[in-house]
Amino acid sequence: MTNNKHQWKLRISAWFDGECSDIDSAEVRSHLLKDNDDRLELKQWRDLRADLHLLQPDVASDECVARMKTRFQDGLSHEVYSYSRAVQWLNIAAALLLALSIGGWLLVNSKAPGVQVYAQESNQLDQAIHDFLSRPASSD
Amino acid sequence: MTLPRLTPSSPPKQSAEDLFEQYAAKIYGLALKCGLSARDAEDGVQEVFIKVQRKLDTFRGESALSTWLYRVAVNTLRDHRRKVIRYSRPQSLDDCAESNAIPARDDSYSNPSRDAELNERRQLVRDALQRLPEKFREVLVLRELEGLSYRDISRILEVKQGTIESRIYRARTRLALEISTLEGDLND
Repeated sequence: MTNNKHQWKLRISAWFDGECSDIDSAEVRSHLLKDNDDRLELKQWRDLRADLHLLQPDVASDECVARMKTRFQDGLSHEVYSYSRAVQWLNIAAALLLALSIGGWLLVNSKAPGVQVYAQESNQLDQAIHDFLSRPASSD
Repeated sequence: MTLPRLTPSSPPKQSAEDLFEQYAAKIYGLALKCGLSARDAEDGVQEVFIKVQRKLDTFRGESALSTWLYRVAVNTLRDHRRKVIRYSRPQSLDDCAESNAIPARDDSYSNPSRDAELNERRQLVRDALQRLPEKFREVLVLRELEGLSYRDISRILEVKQGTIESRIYRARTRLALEISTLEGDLND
């Protein structure tokens, strides 16, 4: 099919669906008067539309809508229940994490400072002074 | 027909339950037109509205709420149909009876042989439609059975309008071919 022919088919299809501007519609109509093949194809589409309209289903019965509604509400409550359970578990996890963090912080910050080091140094110094003072006097 | 515009520029004030009340029957019809049996269509509707419930917060009001809902419905029903085909649940007789039901008409004017003919034709068209690739079937259902405009279809399927135009043309050509093939098979 040539590109031009294909373009016409697209335009006719759009015109058939009422998707053309007034100018386009006039052009398509005058083309159809000249082109027998496209007229035949248009007739085929009309038949196709009539065929497709056979498939229009019945309107859903009240009973059917009520049944779907009950199922939807059940599904919805299950959905809400699952969601609230997920939130509950999330809360528990968050509380545990917080407790662990606080515990860890307290553990790290409650360590006694290195006072004993100074005490030891101080004791050694006292001992050294004591040793020095208790050294026997020189005979010189 | 264009989709009715609900709160076009602001986020929705409606709950999934409100939308269910308003659209459930329409979506059920859409599911049947997409080739699902009555029972599968009911399952499909439930899936659609559960998804609506989950996603309603993400609706930003960039399109009409009805367009957004149709988009969710078409995508969900497409997945549902694939699932049904994959597990190919055999249809019960009740399903067939309900989904193939002839639209209610005045009984006093019913003509059994005409009805039988119509039923046969309806089944043939349904089979032909089922044989189309998904993308062709969807545009035909939205255009011919839901009566939506090209613009609405392009928004629902998130495809350019020009593509929709060409896809509808190709879908028609293909459906006509499938119908004549099936008619040929019947006559053989």
